[in-house]
Amino acid sequence: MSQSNASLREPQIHSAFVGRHIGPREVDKREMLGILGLSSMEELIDRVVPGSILENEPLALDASCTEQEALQALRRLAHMNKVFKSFIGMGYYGTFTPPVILRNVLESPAWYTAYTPYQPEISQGRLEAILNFQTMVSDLTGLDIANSSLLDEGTAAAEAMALCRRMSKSKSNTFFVSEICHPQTIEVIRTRALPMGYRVVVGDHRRELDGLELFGVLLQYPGSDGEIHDYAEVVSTAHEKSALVAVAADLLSLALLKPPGEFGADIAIGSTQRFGVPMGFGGPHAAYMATRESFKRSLPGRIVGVSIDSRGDPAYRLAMQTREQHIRREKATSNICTAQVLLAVMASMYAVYHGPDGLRNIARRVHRLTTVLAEGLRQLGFEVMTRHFFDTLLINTGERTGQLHEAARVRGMNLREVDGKRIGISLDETTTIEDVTALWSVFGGGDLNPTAMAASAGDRIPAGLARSSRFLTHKVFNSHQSETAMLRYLRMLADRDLALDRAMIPLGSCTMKLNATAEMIPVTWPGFCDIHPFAPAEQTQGYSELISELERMLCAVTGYAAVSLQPNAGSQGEFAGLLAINGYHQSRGEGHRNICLIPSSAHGTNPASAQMAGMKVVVVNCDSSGNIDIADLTAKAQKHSLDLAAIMITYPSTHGVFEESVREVCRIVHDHGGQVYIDGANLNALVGVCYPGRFGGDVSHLNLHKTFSIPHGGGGPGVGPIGVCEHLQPFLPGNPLATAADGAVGPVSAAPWGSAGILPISYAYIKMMGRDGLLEATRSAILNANYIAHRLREHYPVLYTGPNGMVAHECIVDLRPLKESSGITVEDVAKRLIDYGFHAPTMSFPVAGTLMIEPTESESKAELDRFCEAMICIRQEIRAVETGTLDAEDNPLRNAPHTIAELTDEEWQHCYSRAQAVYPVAALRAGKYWSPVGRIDNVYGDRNLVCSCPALSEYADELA
Amino acid sequence: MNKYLIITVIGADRPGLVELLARTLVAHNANWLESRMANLAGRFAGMVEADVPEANFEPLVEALEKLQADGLKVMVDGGLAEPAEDSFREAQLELVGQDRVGIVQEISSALARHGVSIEKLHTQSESASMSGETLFRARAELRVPNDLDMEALQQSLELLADELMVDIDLQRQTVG
Ligand SMILES: Cc1ncc(COP(=O)(O)O)c(C=O)c1O
Repeated sequence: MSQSNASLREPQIHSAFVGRHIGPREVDKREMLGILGLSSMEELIDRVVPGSILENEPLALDASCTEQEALQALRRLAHMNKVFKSFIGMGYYGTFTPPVILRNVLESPAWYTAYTPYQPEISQGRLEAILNFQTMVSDLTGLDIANSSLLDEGTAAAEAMALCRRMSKSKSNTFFVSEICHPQTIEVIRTRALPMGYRVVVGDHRRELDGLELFGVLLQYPGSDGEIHDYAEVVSTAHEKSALVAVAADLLSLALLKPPGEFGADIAIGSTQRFGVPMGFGGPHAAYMATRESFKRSLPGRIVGVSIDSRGDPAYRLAMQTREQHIRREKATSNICTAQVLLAVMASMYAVYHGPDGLRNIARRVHRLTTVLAEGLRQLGFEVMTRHFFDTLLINTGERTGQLHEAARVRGMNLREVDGKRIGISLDETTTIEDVTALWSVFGGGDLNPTAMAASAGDRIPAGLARSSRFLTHKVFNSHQSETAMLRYLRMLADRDLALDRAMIPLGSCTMKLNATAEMIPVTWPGFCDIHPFAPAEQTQGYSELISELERMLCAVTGYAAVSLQPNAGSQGEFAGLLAINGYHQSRGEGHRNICLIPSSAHGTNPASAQMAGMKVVVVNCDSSGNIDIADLTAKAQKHSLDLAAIMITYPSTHGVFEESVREVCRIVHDHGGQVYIDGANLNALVGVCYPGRFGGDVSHLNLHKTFSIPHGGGGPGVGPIGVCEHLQPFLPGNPLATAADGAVGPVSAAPWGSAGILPISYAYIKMMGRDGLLEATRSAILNANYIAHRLREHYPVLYTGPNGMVAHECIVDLRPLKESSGITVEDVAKRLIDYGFHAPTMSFPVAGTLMIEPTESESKAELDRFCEAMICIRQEIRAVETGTLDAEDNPLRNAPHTIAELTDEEWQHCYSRAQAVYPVAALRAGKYWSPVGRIDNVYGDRNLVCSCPALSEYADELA
Repeated sequence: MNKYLIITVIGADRPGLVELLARTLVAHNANWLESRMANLAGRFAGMVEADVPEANFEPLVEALEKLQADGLKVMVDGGLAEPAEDSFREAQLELVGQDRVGIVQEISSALARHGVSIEKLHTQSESASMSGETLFRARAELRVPNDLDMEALQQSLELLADELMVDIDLQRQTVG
């Protein structure tokens, strides 16, 4: 086409992003369809998706737009948000993200596109970063062991309550919560306590503990009102009653304050947001939990530990996985899966960057400014009600309260609206002396002299509670204070890992698709970042439009009537969805319904969430083709007819198949009075093709961090919104700042819209893909999976398929027969894939001894072929073991991954060649990912548990 | 008056072993009460609880011992006046941890130390979901003395191996 013919408005330009997001070119798609014996994408979908649920109208969404248009739309929304200086506090503070961390972690695909480090050999960089996080938390809190992140402070407090219940010897079911805990924390605890049958007593810890029998206590340190209390006595009172004590502690204040571990607390929890993570209108940020060594097996969430690799060198891995929902299922004590790893990495790097002295200086400056502010306010005649404080003041403002808030807003400042008579002010790292002067002028003292105020303002930390112990003494926190050192440290860690920026991550059930740069860019704009979750509504118009627009889009995609964006992970969505079901049954006088049917193939979070929602799990079997066994389902639904609360199914199933009988399954459950929960983790196979809200679901959660392009961050953040049919709409999660009315459901997250700060990603994705692009993505994801299944089928059995021999958007290859014939296990194949430059597919879920492959639509045919070739070469290696050409023990599979250290040994130790070990296919010579460590010893790691940065001498001992 | 006996048999597995045993019991008017059978590595192993009229007790024991000729090794623990009536409760034990050598032995000896006997034990190792590491799972039915402190039992099992997660559910009804 000659230039003069180019039209001024070409529709292709508007759908250009679709072709950027989807890997295979049109010609590739035609070729792949041809190989599958199909003539069109429509025919593919007809073959895969049961006619009974397939819908043909287009999605009720706009056509696709360009990256520039999406950015423009988001820029407009960001500008509609008013960035005020926040003095609201309540667990969310202004902070400076060190630019070197902003660019090289938060904005770096090497960090944000990584997956949860289940394959530790290729995750050493982020495992080190989160081990630093654990060390930082355990040092600052003075407790033995910390996990690597929970979802927010509210849910962390709820997890602490559960931990107290498990470990306390008390027979009581009462949990005491101090009234000076953050209000949103108290509400999240109430929500979690209700289905477990715990009684929550909120009161004054100084007076109301006596005479109570209880299993646990939650205190806030410093209090939400700013006051620092000496809790030593409360701790001993509680311990006398066999109750345990959890302390929600502000991490920055602990640089100056005696840590909870030193006054006897059993558990510390809190947020690490102010360690360089923007407020983001409520999230995402990493919460932490630390506890005693003796409680370690009950600690929820992921824990990184140090082990050794095949050569005895130190290496990191996820420790004690037997605690977690993917192993323990309904016996798990927590449903947490996706957490907040990216944000935990940022917080840990903030500590690495500032070091102990830097943190102490920041804390001192914040405290100093607060004392100066307090002195000025006192001299202006205001009663500062907080006696001992770190960074927060409670001021008696009486009749003038409303007026003062007004005056502050005129100056672009938000103060905390405590009640009609009192105002709260929290300072932070970003506060300057000019801000303090501006605050004074709000209170009528614009002419106060800061130097004079400083002269008469003394320290306000109680002498007995000043910190004397050292923290962050490990070398890692004392060697990267120059930006050059920091930059190289971040690069060195990132280079150890395999993320989506290097190769496909074909993890089944995880949907590791493209996280496009245009989607990521708005996340760090101040209009989205620097907004406090409890900022007045008139300042957050951009967010409200973004949220309602996104809710509408997700309703269109799912066929549900309403959506709540509050749950900040899939697991939380499940919990929220089950609470909606409970609420619904109760509203009909059927609150006794408590049986939850769950197919044996379900993801571990399903049974764990059901247990947390107070339900009893009854497992439904699958038949030999992997589908729900209808006879077993019917029998169990009948048996529990009077008590049936719900079924939780995943669609397409975790076996990667569109079950033909899904409508029947829903009908059977409905007939017996139950509600249908459809786990939407696999929605990537459904978008634009069929609608869970229309084929029988009453409620679903979606994983925006799968289907809607939010990156996985190495194990979080996530967003797990729920969609519900109209009858469940009254039971969506409530506002964290209000106590839920009787019959309504409370909040499941600390912030009203959970991880609001990353919603622009999904918004941009849906806008840029548009109705046709989203459908094309679904089709391409299904095409890619079927292409892989087709290419691998003659080498490995594909475990389950639909009636036409087709899979959905993922496929399971069965390695159990190979184990029988060769002794080679899934683990061997997974580790060998590392030598070929790949992240392994999902191992042993949902079927032990198998690999589940999900390519997503974003992988090109060339990458699919590269992966298939690797799998086929590996099959040939296994065959060589079967025939005896390769030794049964000393073979490249058993010994994988191979490291440079091993290769450069004086003597090569194996009975196959070096080249066969590391260059099994020629293309690797042109560019290869080298595993930094050999195969990691799991047993050693759990038996010799080390969950904080080991002293260098310890390594030496181990190796001696 | 009947006598109770526990018969333990072991032999190379082949069709008809159970029948042979049953025939011997019937011939002595003995009553087959409860049994557990298993095939382990090509060997047949079984335990049978039976009762038999007192007069037939000795002849039955002799007949059973003669089965040696048919390749069945038999041990009889018998002459009990009644089935062991006791103050035991049933409990279910589930345990998951890293797989390694010696774990079954350590568990069973810890149980024995607490006076707990194992009624049924099912163990398996499997590839763990997600990480693919080898996990050891055991499910056991236990008889525990009524006065046993379950928490202490749980603790001492978990102490055995730091990487073990142990769940114990106590069944309500008492045995016997
Ligand atoms: C089928 C299924 N359900 C639920 C979840 C839980 O989601 P999240 O990890 O966000 O809590 C997952 C995530 O891995 C999943 O694959």
